[in-house]
Amino acid sequence: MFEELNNIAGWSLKNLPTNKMILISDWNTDASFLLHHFLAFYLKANSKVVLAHAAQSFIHYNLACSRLGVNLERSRNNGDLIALNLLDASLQQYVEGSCENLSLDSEECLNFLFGDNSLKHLFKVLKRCVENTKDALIILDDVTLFLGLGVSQKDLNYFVHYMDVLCKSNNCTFVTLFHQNFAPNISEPSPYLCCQLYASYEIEVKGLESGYSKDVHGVLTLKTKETEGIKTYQPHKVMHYRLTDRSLQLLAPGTSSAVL
Amino acid sequence: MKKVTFTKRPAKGGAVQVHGTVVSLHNGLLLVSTGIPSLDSVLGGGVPLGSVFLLEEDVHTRFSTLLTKYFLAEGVTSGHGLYVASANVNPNVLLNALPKPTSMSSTRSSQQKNDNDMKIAFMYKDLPKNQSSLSGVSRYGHYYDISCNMDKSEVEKCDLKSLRLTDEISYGEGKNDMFRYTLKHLKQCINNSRYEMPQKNSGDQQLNVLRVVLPHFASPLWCGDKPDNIHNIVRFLHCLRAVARNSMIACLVTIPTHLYHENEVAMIRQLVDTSVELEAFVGEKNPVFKQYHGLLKIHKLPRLNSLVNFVPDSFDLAFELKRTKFIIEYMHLPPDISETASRQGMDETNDKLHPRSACGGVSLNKKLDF
Repeated sequence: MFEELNNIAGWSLKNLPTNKMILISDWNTDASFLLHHFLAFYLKANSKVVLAHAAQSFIHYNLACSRLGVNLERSRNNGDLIALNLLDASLQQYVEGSCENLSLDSEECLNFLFGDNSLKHLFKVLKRCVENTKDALIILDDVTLFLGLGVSQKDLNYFVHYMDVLCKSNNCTFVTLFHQNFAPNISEPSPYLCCQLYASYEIEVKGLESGYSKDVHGVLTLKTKETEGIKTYQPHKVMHYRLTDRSLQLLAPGTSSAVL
Repeated sequence: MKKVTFTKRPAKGGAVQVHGTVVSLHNGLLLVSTGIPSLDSVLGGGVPLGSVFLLEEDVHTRFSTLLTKYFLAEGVTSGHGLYVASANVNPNVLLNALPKPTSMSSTRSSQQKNDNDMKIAFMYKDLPKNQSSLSGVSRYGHYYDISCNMDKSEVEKCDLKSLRLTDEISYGEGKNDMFRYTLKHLKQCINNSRYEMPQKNSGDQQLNVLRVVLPHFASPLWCGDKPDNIHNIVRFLHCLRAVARNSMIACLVTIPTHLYHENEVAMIRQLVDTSVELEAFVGEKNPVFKQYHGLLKIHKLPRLNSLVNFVPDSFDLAFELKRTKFIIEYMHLPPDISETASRQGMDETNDKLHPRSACGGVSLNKKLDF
């Protein structure tokens, strides 16, 4: 868990963001380290976590999060963590090919996730996972992958809307990752803007404009959308970050003319 | 018992040792060599097991074919299994022309001649990694002579599977299923042999690595007539990643990315673990580039099982094809931070070089005053 990021955003183990959607977006870089942060953060707070991973295998998350101080394997055995292996499910469906009607109660309906190229099955499975729990966290890695696999932009927008409704009704939080270098089809609403619409927090990660540097890895911008109360101006918090094996260091951008 | 393939942990029955692999110094992953020592050092030791390595081809495919041959030759000398699936060229044509491994003594004499030139200090990186021989385990990384071909008997010794995708094979519902057919065939080969991830940590198991090579992948011959080809390619790469993560394989995929739109290429890059592009100089060469034949651009480095990844000292890499070998070198040293060092020559070369993307440039922006 990245302490400095929590301090900046005003989160703590007692003040978890609930009922919200958090969007992590990146441009030409890989912001998946933030997913590990949320995994570790919520598991340390003893919340239930649903990890739907389509981009990496479970071992990757397990080993990466072990440096952050949580044991995903143990959490999975306890029941605190539900890991939906979309990577293997996609492979199985690709190789097997056929789409039979299975009852929704079985876990195998995941295999037919990509059957009709919409995300309805995935939504139903996620809904079932957080049914009777409060303050759960759903992590989906990642949303742009579905666009690459053939899900239409319209279907993705519907999915995000459904997830937002699920969060508000079940009091859970939804975190997902969006790679901004996906070029949208102009005739349909852009999925990135749609995600931004529903997200209460957005963490945007980019490389430095001045080029690659070993000490400062990039720029991290935290955008908060306050839905309660009246706030006339919400500045974005722009920080430079440096990622190490165990932590994320946030640095002030400084007043150099190259930055301002 | 936890799965042991990616990170080497001291297990009860002794450490997992697979010949032709080495444990990475940076993150404990098992690596296989690409066959070119300089490329291995740029990638942090080699290609991690269970990952997909994308080589973005140069326009005339001359150098990418050579790199593919190196990869296959390294597999033969390390005793790994080979799997080649190709739609364009007969895999046997590729396998008949692999570079011949040279013995240690001949390389040492040629190295001495190179040392006298002393052009760039990183020539020393070409020195062999393992000075001492490991008993029973073949060395990691070998040297090859591309002017001679490997003996066919050596190639036949290893476990070789190839797939030639021609019009005679029926793929199912049409040409779009060529991808699916290939993946099914690959998965079958893995299941039939001993390349699956070991479930239990039995120390007596003889583990071996399968090198999967897909040359000229996603070329027009692979793609059907429908406009959503990129989705088929993305789907295949996604499933290939799923297969790779569960098996002892290292994949090399070469794609002619210059045929695709930038956004499609970005999407392809997201689904592979390592992405390296070869840009050969064609036409009039900029004299700044001296004896090099092209640039090597790194677009993505593998970040498996950890938060950070290995980063080479510099991203300005160029390659050169000599008579007997192919080498990759750093183009110039990174700029010296101290004020007194004269950087006039450096600025001239930086101006002449092509403008780079935000993540790859080394040029110092004069506005910075740290």
